[in-house]
Amino acid sequence: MSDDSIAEFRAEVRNFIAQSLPDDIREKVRRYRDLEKSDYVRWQKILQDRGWFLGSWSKDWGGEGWDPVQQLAFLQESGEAGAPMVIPYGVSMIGPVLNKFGTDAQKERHLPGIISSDVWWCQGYSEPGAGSDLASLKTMAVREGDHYRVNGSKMWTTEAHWADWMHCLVRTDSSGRKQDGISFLLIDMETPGITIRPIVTIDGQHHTNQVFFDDVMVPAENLVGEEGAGWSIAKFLLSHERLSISDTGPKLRLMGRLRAMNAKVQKDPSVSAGLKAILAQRMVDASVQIETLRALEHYFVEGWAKGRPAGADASILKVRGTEILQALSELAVDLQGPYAATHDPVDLHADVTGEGEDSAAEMASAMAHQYLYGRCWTIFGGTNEIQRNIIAKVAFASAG
Amino acid sequence: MTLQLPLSEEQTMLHEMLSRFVSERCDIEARAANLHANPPRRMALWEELCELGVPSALLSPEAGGFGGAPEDLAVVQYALAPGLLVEPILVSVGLCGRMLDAAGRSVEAVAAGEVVYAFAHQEGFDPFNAPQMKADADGDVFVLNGLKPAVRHADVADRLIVSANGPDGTILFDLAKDAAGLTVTPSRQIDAAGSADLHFEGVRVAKKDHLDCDAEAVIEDALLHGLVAIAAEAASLARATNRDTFEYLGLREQFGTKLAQFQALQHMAADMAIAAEEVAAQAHTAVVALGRKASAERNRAILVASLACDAGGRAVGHAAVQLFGGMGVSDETPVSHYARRFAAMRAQFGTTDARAARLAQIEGFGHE
Ligand SMILES: Cc1cc2nc3c(=O)[nH]c(=O)nc-3n(C[C@H](O)[C@H](O)[C@H](O)COP(=O)(O)OP(=O)(O)OC[C@H]3O[C@@H](n4cnc5c(N)ncnc54)[C@H](O)[C@@H]3O)c2cc1C
Repeated sequence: MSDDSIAEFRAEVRNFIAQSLPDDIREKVRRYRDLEKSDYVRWQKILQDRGWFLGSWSKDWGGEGWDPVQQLAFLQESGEAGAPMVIPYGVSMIGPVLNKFGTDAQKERHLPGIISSDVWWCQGYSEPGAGSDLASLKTMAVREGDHYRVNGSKMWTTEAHWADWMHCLVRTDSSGRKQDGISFLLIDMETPGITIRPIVTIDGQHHTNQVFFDDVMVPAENLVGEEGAGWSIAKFLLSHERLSISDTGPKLRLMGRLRAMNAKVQKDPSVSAGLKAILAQRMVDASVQIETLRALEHYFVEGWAKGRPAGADASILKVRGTEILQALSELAVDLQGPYAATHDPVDLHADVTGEGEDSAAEMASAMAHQYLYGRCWTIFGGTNEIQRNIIAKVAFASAG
Repeated sequence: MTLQLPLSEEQTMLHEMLSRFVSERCDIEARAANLHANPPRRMALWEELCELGVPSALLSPEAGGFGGAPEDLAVVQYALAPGLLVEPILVSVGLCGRMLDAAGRSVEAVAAGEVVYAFAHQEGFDPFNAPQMKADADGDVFVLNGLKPAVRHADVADRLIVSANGPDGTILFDLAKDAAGLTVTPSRQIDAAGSADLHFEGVRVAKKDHLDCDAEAVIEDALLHGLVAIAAEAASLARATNRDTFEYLGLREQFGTKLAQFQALQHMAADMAIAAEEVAAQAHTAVVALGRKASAERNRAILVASLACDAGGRAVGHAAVQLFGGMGVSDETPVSHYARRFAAMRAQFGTTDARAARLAQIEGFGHE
């Protein structure tokens, strides 16, 4: 796409969100509330009606076939304008996997629900004993006639309590190389033998869960690809996620919030000139960081279009994107002044439909939530230490 | 030994007793049960703390206690830190009790834990600034109008020490929380302690209920005690955080080996160990400085220490969460609460930026 048509597309996205984002959702996002499942579903359906929900799917799959430049434009504009994120577990993860590896029957059965957002998915990969070292996962699936008997436990399964289905990595063979014994199963969350234990995280919210499988019988037709192909399917799936990782849109929006909060402090006559200077310096640092992230993202995306090898680019974006979010959120908290230690998880669910703005305490809770949940970002999606291992490996390889 | 301070026999015993209390009575599940209750039980351990004599340790013999020295404050804070208490022992006894005593008031009820105080003073970023809240004289009374935001422990307090800007400068008042015209809007702090916004609308206080003292000096002294208290707490918490984290790295295996075998993590752990020693050294310095006479140098030393303790403590907390991986952000893991306590300390007695600005001023680094 030419620069002009990208600019046009960006404007189109902005206009669409201005007109089509339901007021209550807009208000929740603006006020940094936690969204309900129904909010995400509603927005995803609106995007689907507009023909943008499958933007990154290829045309063969019934998508728009957006190139990375256009995908980035959409993500950035939506995030900055305060549209909810698209929940990836269905459309960005299992959807592409089924398109590529699924049988016709699997596609027929599952794709419509993913496309309409009527069927909700979760991602069951990590386990108590298998996090960074995912390949050592132990949840066993033993073939018995036309079923697999599944036993074990998945850890940190985000939104399992909202999900109708899980795409799950299971062990079907323990004899050879660990990676080769992993298979990719689709599991109906209604199946007897599944229990979900909520996990409350550092932000005081329940997003994630531990899921237990106790003799769960899964029809063999729910195996995706061959037995033992799970690892390579998972790698395909994760490579598909390259762009959403640095997720600059919401960070640009947070930067906007920082600007507004700082402007208020700078005008406050009771704040000393010395403190104002310190805060101004921190704003400069934040601004340089976020602009650098934005530049980096554009640079990579344009490079890929010109044949730049992806190398460790996704890892670089993940490390910087998450660490910059943490830096911004720390400043957001510090800017709350006398409310800088205020945080009530309940405030994240307070009603937004009535008259009036948030109290200072509610605003502080929202920023504290950004700070606390921000600690998760450097951990999930491959920890930043693992990303740094990758970056160093690629960097050394290209030097040698 | 607490922070390598020269402790008396009594102080050493106190430390041992409080450490035992923490290990026996402050486990993370019991804490969660109290704080997740509706309404939260934020005074659950109060009576036990009083029975253990913690208030007496924080008060001088003149005020009816048996301690009150900087070392006593350090011992209490250091020993109790890993317990992550939300009870208002520091504020009610250590700070408000001290202020009441300075004004010649009886501290008996505070020392017995029968009356709980909160300190309604800070308004903006910097509590070392004079309060702006109005106290207008009207015959035999002062009339208070204004807001004290997010006052820690104001939810559980019976009484308040309130600062205001009177006809002749800063005044302190001793006020019941149910005073007419005072609206209390409860809130919560990031470490699960309680707080409240206090709106004063024409609250009338008899002139005799103002504290007869040099209010500015008394406030400054209380704030410095607060900063030193959390410096000592930070030192202890950094130590506890490192203990938990290093133990975990030695137990958890990924890729067929203990996490402790990964050099990248060894270096992170080494930085945590360095930071904890720095925090301890600065906490020690702060305690010693607090024992000196009021001076700009004493303020400077305490501000420097508090900034160093914040930086080191927070770095330790963040690194610990990261090194625990997913477990680090679980509410069931103590380090996730340690990190939240560090976040709360950063904003107690003023934000870190405000402390930095004040230090710059004392040092003459800026133009002011
Ligand atoms: C909020 C949240 C949501 C999540 N949602 C999901 C989900 O929906 N589905 C899902 O499958 N998973 C999910 N995860 C799991 C996530 O992917 C894992 O937490 C992550 O991969 C890290 O694994 P771990 O927690 O077991 O930590 P560990 O792997 O035990 O890591 C502990 C520490 O050791 C470090 N480390 C490990 N190996 C190395 C090494 N070789 N070199 C250097 N350092 C190393 C890590 O970086 C980390 O600091 C979620 C996690 C969180 C916190």
